[in-house]
Amino acid sequence: MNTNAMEIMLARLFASPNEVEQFLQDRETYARNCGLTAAQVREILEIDAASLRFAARSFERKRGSRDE
Amino acid sequence: MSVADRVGLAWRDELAAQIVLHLDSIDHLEIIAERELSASRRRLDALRDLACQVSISLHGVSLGLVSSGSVSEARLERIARLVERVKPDHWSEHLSFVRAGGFEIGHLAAAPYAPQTLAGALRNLERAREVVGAMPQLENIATLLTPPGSCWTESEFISRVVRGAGAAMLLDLHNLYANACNFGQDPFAILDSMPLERVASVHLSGGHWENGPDDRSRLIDDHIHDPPPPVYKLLEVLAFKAPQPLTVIIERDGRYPDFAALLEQIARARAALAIGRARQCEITARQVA
Repeated sequence: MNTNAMEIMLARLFASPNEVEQFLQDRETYARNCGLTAAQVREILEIDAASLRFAARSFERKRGSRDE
Repeated sequence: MSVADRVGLAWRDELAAQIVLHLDSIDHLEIIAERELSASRRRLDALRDLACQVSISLHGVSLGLVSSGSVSEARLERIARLVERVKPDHWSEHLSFVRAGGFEIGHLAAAPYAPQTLAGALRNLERAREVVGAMPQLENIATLLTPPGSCWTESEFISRVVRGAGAAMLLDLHNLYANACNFGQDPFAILDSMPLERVASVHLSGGHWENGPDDRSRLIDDHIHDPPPPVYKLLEVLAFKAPQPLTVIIERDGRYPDFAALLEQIARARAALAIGRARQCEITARQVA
């Protein structure tokens, strides 16, 4: 079954805080390049930047603590 | 507390000696499945022996079952072999995805609470049941974001997955509490909106508050702090509202306190269950009278 483009984009963002910064520079272009539909792009424009940065940082720390 | 309720700990090698010494105070042990996938025959034999002395569950953290994409057959087969070898009371996994499109998140994340994720989750869970031989209990996760593309609330989505799959739920009360705090919601209202009739197991753990880039403080579930008082209060209410037997597991992943402190947390969980159960008996008795 095909994975939802939104889910793939979230995985990409959560896997790297650098991706989050690229996304936040130009959300619409980034989202379209990830294959999101127009409706999904509208959804992603609403995402709270601080919460997204916080989440990506938290995932990065959890990956780091697991590798110790 | 009902005789059928159980209270125990998440197994960590750092705690092994003390756990074995205090098995008379521990009803259940939860073992992280992925840590045992490459275990020696000797260790697996030891786990099997342990499972004969105390109830054990295997807890998966990397299948990513709640996704619009397909679960890895190879990963499922490894879990199936472990379950067959250890013969736990049950196994569990998370209501989360951990990878998509070749990107590994390396931790548990919430996919959109939407029909495509629900359909994928139900397919993956059915496949997990076929390969492993039993449906996993499903655990709610802590999340700092409502996934974009969601058309349901977290608890609506969880209810659809758990009831749709015919699965039992492992309700993590600290994850529930952290999400309620971080999204400005009432944790007791969130508890009420969960599929409580499906809850079979409970996780209790702790976390810490941290300031974000916007200076807003958020509660992070970290398993290295004691469960805070509201988590025990939530357990009391759950024991009142869910009459079925509950297996309560205290999770601790680091900064281990003296084992006496963990035993105290087990005792506190038993006391919270007892309060909820007593209130339930009182109401039932009044209804009969």
